[in-house]
Amino acid sequence: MSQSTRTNEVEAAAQLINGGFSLAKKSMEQILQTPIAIERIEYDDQALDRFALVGGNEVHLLKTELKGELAGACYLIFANDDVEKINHACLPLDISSGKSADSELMKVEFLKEIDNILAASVITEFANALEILAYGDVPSLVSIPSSTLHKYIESEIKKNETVIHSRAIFHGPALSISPHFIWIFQDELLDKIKNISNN
Amino acid sequence: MKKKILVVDDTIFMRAMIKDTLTERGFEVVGEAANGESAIDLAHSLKPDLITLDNVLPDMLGLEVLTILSKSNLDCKVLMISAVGQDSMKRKVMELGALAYIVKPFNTDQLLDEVNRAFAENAA
Repeated sequence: MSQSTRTNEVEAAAQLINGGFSLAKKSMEQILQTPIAIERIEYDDQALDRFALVGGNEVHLLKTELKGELAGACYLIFANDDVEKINHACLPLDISSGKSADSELMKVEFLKEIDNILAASVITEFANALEILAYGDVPSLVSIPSSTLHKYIESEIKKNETVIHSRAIFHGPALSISPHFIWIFQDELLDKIKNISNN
Repeated sequence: MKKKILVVDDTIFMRAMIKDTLTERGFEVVGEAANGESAIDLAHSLKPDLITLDNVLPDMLGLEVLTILSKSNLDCKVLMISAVGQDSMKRKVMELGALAYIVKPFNTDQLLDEVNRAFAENAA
């Protein structure tokens, strides 16, 4: 494959990701009932610094693996205070302020539902454009120290032999939240883009 | 007689939201399932008039649940409610006889419109 062809496919992938992020932004606005701005950022060491700055606090990392005809994963990352603000804005008071096991479960499940919907928004963009069947698996949630987040993401990128990774920050000024959204794809994505371009 | 509805979704948050919306409007949520196997079992034992079915479940796709139910002799309508919004998936689900495909996030009016339409068609 020539370098120029590969470049074309990477550019096409970037356009699909942009389209997917736009859909995810709309979904997030609908769930949270607040305006959301999206900031696409280049992959570098700076992007996750905000989480390191919150000191020893944990971040909530939701991982969704792709299933079907597309391989990869996405990660939706909330700082601790983001989660509290979202819960207070979107959940009934007895749940958002509750400390019972049921309330805690409901908060976790709400985060998973947000992740599920945002992941599906991006996947829909790819699946429709590439005419494939793909979907996100049931998301998993882990809480990890903010200081280890960068290392975690790096290891995921290496583990998945990723060729494309993309990142965005959703800014919700009214709620003062800034969750990160990271996508990694394996190189078969480029093959699928090539196939659809050739047909 | 209240219409009986089975709610299937892997998250308790979504099940509670759907259940609350429907019960407030006079429908009877007779059961809840968090996975496909449980959904199929409850569909047979509870014989609901309608099932709200999530598409991505921990053990199988809602599409597979729908395929199994469509081959059974159950007389219930299925309303797919899923974050998976791709056209090919929607087509397959509708071909299998689902009443409608609601893409998350949705508002409660959308849900109630489709549920009311299901039972209006039943009555016609």
